[in-house]
Amino acid sequence: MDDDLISKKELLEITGISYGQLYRWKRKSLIPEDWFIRKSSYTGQETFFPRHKIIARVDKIINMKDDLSLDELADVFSPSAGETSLRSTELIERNIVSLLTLDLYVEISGQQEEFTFDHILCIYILEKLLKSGELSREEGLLLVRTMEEHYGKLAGKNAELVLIRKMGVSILFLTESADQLYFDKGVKWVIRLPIASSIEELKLKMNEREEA
Amino acid sequence: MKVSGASSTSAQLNDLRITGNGSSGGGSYAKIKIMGDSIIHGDVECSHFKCMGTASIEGSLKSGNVSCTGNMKVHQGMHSEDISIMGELEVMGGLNAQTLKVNGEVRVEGSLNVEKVKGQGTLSISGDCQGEEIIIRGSVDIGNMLNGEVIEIKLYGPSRAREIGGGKITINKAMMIPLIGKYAPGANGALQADSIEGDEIRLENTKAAVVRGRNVYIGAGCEIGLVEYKNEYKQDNGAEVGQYNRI
Repeated sequence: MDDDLISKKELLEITGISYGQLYRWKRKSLIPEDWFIRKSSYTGQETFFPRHKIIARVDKIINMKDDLSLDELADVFSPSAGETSLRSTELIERNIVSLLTLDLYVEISGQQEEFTFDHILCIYILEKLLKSGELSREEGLLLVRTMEEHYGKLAGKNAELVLIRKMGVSILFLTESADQLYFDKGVKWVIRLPIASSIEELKLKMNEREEA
Repeated sequence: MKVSGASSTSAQLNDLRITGNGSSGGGSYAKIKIMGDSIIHGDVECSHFKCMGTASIEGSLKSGNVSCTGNMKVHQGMHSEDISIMGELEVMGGLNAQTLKVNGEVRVEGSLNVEKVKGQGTLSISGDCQGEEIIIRGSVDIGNMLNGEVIEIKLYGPSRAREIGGGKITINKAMMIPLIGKYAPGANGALQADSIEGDEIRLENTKAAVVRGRNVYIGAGCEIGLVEYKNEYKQDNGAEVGQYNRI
């Protein structure tokens, strides 16, 4: 799906960063290993990156590197869960999710004393998709159940959440990469959400509040 | 054979001492001291690991400081703080450490991640070699990428890396004291790489397809296909460069 690539040289030109910075960020895992795509070119081997992802990432790093250390940044971008767990009141007070979504979540999976990062992530994704109107309440139920049962197996990997519909029937699933999935014509892709980007957003949102 | 587990004052963990020929099943210890020849059949965790002689760990090793005079082999990955090797260290499954001091040879099947590597001898890594400071007098053989903020290699043997990247990269040829009436051909080490990219690059005795950097100096004995530089470019008379462009 994402065939638009950018060469390393072009990336440095556009973003104005140096080789040293790029390699430093790679060492600190700010840029994931699998974004480095090696292809042969006329000078031998060249490294390419997925264009949109890498430019967005480099912009983010440049904007945030004054406020956060490289190690803290690495934590933000890491697909693995954060350590924190929060109480439901904190979730609302710190404006991480809305009461409405939280109630729906509690309705589905029961009241909890404290929410772990994975739970918060699930609520956050639920809220995001409900708000955007892509997800119905019934599908929200699917989402919470699926995340609860299966997300643990994909934690730490670059998982994607996919929702497809055919003839009004929704199918929701988690997969490591949705790049190579082909369906018959009647199937409509409704949602394709890389979980890692939501983790990033959520971690930033949680960090922000801690500092404030 | 003598294997003794003496209780240590710190944190209820025992020490493990092997003197002579011995083996252990592994486990958690405060200090491990091996003098002689030993096999550990399993994973080990400890705060200090000292080996004088031969140690073979069939599991993984997690430890604070490691010092080894002799031979050491770890079969399933190694995580340590400060490592100092006089002799040989072989790790299968990746090596992570704060500092690595080498006097001899370090072989890693997998990748090497350290803050600082310093030493004399051979570094042979099948995957990536990453660190803030990588300073080696000797030879390197890196299967994949050598990535460091500061990379300094003084070549005393044939070296190879698929890709080198980082902040400051310096590759120097060895200083040889000429022996009277004796000339050893090929004794001067050379480095071969597909590409070398960094901010400050100084190369000698290096063969590479592409070199890209901000300030680039190509010294004697180099054979470079293409140089791309941003600020400054200098080339020694004894260097062969196919093409150089300012970008």
